[in-house]
Amino acid sequence: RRVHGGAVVGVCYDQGVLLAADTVGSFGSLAKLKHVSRVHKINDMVAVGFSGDLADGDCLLNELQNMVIDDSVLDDGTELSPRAVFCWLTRVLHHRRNKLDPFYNQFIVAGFDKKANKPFMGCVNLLGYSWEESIIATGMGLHFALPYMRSQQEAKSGVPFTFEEAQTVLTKSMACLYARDCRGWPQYQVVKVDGAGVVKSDVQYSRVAFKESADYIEGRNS
Amino acid sequence: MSSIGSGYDLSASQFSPDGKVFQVEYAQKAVENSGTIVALRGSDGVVLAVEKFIQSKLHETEVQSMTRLFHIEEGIGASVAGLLTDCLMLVEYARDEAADYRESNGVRVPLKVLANRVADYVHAHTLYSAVRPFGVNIILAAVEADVGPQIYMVEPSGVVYGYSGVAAGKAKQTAHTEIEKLALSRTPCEELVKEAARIIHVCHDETKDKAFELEMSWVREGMGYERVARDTLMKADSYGKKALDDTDSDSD
Repeated sequence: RRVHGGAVVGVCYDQGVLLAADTVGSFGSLAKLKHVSRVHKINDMVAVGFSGDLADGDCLLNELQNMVIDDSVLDDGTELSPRAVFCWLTRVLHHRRNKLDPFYNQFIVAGFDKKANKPFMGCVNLLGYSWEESIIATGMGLHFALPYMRSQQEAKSGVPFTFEEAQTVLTKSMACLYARDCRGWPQYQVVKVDGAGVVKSDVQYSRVAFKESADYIEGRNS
Repeated sequence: MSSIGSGYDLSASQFSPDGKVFQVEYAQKAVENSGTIVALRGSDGVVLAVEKFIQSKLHETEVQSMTRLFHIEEGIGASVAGLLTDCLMLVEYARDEAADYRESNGVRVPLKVLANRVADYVHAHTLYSAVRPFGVNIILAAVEADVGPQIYMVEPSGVVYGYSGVAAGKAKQTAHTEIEKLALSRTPCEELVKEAARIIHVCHDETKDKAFELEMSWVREGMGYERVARDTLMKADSYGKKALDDTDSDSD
């Protein structure tokens, strides 16, 4: 048993990407660490979020941050693009899978591709398998968040979400995860990536009203 | 002043009878042939300025090739005088050491530690006949959280000193005279940028030296290391040129 993180949810919208993850580090069923950051800014174009083993995730994050410093000292404006980060993560994770010693994570890479002027989002898992999508949820989010996000996306019939719509989808997904995932947590952070850069929010709170179950509690309203 | 080595100058592993290691002295000569570099420690940061000779009119000046100012680590800058390719090796070494320190200790390397590491590395190359010393003076600058702006300079012999202001290269004596006139600790970098440009212009010998390009960068409190922005650089450059012209017309 090791300290691990829950779901990461990502939604693309017309101008960028939103990524959210709760701030708990679980130790099995124990909510051991309550202020863990699982979404991070990499540089002005890219953010990553990870679920799974927190030690492994932090290790790869540290590597990425070192790579960013290596780029910055060259003073020529070179930055890792979203696809470069995505490719690097895929290769590293796949390599370790081949050695039967995986980094036990699922990463979401969210970025704004400045050349194509389009948002980018991809997911890589511990097998080194990667895919690009406009809506992604890792871990329990696959079951609790993804169906909802898909239905919202299908309702738009091919038109990308607006920022407000993406925010709503994200907020509701995080609330659902808190309500339904036994290892869920109400506090989460959101990272917004768009053409202007990467902004990480302060900790936000899921508001879930357990209206239905309240009626089952004896003594209520008596 | 310059003694003939006559037999004791063939390798760095030999002392001469009068107690010199000639190879190191010759390395220092290499530095003395290079364009002047100046570092000024102000109240809120350090300004680095370089007299970069333009080797050919065909060189593209917009593209920063063969620059003598380097970004070592977040908030640490360096300027170099001497053999440029030797300089590049030292810069790479400094970058690696800084990255290593950060990886092991989780914080940015204190400038003093980095300067000492670079100095040890330079010194190591003065001990053996199998390698030659570095023909480089490297100036390292940073703003440290607790002590403020700092400058260290490493010389080919491997000595390192901390400075409030320092110069190296061709006209270092002239530059030092100018630096001593400044009230460095009370002056902000905004002002020192102009003074540094002026000093470089004063040091430049129109008759003997090639045309030069002024390069400047600074490390400032809260702003890390940056090359000086183009418009600030141009203003400082014109200030420097004008100050030099004024002094020239004064002496007529």
